[in-house]
Amino acid sequence: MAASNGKLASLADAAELARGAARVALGGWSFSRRPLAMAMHWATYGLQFDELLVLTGGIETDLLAAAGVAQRVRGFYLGMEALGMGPGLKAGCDVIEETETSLMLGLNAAVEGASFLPLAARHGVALAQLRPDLRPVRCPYTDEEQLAIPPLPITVAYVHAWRADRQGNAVFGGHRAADRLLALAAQRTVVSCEELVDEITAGGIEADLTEPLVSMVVHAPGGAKPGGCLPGYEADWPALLDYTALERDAVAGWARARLEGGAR
Amino acid sequence: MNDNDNDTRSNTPAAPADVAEMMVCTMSDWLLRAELIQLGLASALNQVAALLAQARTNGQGPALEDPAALTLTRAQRPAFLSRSERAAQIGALRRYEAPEWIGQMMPRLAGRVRQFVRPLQIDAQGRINSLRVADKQGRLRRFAGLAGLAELAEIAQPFLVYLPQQDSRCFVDAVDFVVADPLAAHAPGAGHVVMVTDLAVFEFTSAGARALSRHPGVTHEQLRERTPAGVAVGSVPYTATPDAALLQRLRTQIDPHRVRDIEFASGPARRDALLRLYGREAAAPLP
Repeated sequence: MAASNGKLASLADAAELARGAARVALGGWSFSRRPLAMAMHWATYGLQFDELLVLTGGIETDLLAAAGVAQRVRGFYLGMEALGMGPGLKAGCDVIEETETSLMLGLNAAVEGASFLPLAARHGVALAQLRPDLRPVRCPYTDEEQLAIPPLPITVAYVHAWRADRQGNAVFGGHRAADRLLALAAQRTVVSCEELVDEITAGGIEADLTEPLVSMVVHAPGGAKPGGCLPGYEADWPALLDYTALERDAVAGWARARLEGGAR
Repeated sequence: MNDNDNDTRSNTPAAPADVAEMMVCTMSDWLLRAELIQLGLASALNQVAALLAQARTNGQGPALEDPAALTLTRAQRPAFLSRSERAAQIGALRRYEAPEWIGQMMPRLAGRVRQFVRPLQIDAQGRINSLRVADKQGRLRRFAGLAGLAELAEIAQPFLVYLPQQDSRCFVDAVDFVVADPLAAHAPGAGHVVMVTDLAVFEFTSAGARALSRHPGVTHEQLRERTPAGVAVGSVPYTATPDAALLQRLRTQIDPHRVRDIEFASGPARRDALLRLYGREAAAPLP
């Protein structure tokens, strides 16, 4: 019997969910499992949204900043590690600074429906200087000084996985990053995948992300290139280095060429 | 100084330690007694030093947390940079989710974890800047980010720093922005920062900052010139050079692809060095 198409969608339809969104989150970490096909689609077609949330922002963040897709970026690390910075981050962009802990607290507050979660003030000295929007509070039990970290609800989260089924169950493959937390904090989550399978649990593997949290599934082989998606492929440093050498106004064309040329 | 573009340098046992090798061997000394080492992102020298420390204890010393796959492992392996995610999964005891490691594991590691951090700037008070520095026109330029340095300053003891190229731009009188203040993160008198550079080893405590040793070949004048005035560099011994067996282990087992050279390259030479490393690593077997 033929499988139902379930939540299967085209890349274009899934990409459209981000148009004008208040906050879009991209999963993955470093060069691993970044939803780059989606990011290239936005850059190619000039789609825009307000805020991009990432934990570590790499090439996907750089190209969205360079192409003017995201109006601002929220994260605790931006850069392409040993490869330096690309044209988007070199040119500078509007950044909402976070620490590792403050970002986790904000996402957890969104998941739990809390109006804020407390960050020990001693861990937020630098953050408080950069983020005057964060309010100080005192713990009613210990009198400890704290920063109140507000919730960070996500409009749409995009996660790239090694395998997924049509119902939205997904196996990440390599780095788990914080993709499950992003999906929990999101109103809608799109999973793109290298392999679309009928039996996600074949071989005794459990799903990292399960169907109640997923709105759409996109079959996008090579969708994390030129980054990596284990166990399928590793980051393509020559292509990544070529990207870092681009001028900012060449980024959208680079994205289009990779999408249309199937280079991803 | 290290000429990292010269791939004709031999790995023969007889070759004396170059600057990168001096640094990673010295850095590994400071990691031997950790219960756990965090590698940190974008870290080449730290990775090599950590793997060397692991090998020196025959796997009985520190466990390794590797953010390339967010794994905890005791597996002994060679260093990889372009293939670090796959390498980090070798012998993984667990692949963590980021919220689990950051929110639940790190707070439980106080006093047991060490991590070498490469800051944009460090000052004579041991304060760390990883976020932004002023350019020649005084405009602030943003770099990596706040990451988890404030928390790390509290749990890592000593707080470890490295600078592959110590100069007046990165070792300064006062940082442009304080991301973490490791001495202030501890009770008075308890904070301890150690820094390994291409010139020397330094220590920062509430009593002040001073050089502990300078590397062979570094003159007192060179050290004074590139060190803030507030840091004592008076008569200090030479850093102990690694013995032949340790160098041999580093060159043949831990870092045969020369990951250790990457952080010394800049400009067009860096791109070439990265591509050469990528090529060497691509040809290497990995599970």
